[in-house]
Amino acid sequence: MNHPKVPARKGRHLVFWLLGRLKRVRVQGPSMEPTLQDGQTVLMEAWRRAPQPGDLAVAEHPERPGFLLIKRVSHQVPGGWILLGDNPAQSSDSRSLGPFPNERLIGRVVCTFL
Amino acid sequence: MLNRIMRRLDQALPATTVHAHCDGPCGVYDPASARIAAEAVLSMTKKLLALEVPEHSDKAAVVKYHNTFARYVAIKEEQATIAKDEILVLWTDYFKPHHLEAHPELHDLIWKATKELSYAKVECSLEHSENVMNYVKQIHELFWKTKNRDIAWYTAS
Repeated sequence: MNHPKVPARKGRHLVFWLLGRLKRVRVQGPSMEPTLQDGQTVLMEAWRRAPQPGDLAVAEHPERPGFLLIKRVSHQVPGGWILLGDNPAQSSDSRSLGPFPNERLIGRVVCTFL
Repeated sequence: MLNRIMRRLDQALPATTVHAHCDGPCGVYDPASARIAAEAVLSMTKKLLALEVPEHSDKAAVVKYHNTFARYVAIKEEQATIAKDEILVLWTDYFKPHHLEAHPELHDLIWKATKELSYAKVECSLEHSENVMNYVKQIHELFWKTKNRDIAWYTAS
């Protein structure tokens, strides 16, 4: 399957990061390969618009408060959003966790950091 | 130059971890393991019902009969317990509340399947063993529906 790439970091992203509007997070695990590699860092921002299919979302695990996941937004269903890993063979996502309610969606990945 | 600075920064600055992996035991569930055990129960039931009782006077044949009989019963017991365990693991570990919402028949189906397995142990009944297979098939269908996958039902025997 072809997954949209994450935009590369630009100068303005660094400015927003230094201003605190973007947050740097580190990906751990292989479930977003080939889009994101284990250990890679990306910049995310708190949602400023409604999620759209294809967005990369940082979301809280529905059964483990404070445990953050990074997945791709698939589509909206009653009760929330279906989030899936780009690498389904090694991903815990909505297939087993169900839809993520709106309030569990923490941020949107804006660009890669490194 | 900038890239080197960025790499240094990236290594030096702590970042919140966002997880991109599988939960604990990786979520590998498949009703096929219950199906294989249930098939063994049905097969042993059929073999038990087909066993010919030998003449009492033929000691060797009697010993052979009892030995085979006992082995079939032991396997039936063992495989029925395995099938029950496999179904209950799907029920308690795999299925989530939203699956139940989408498939309200789930609890009743699990109850009937495991209950039939108990009957298949207590009795040597073709009817109960066939019911077991029928319920396992329904579990198979429901399970793969929750994964949006179209996996055809098949049996080994």
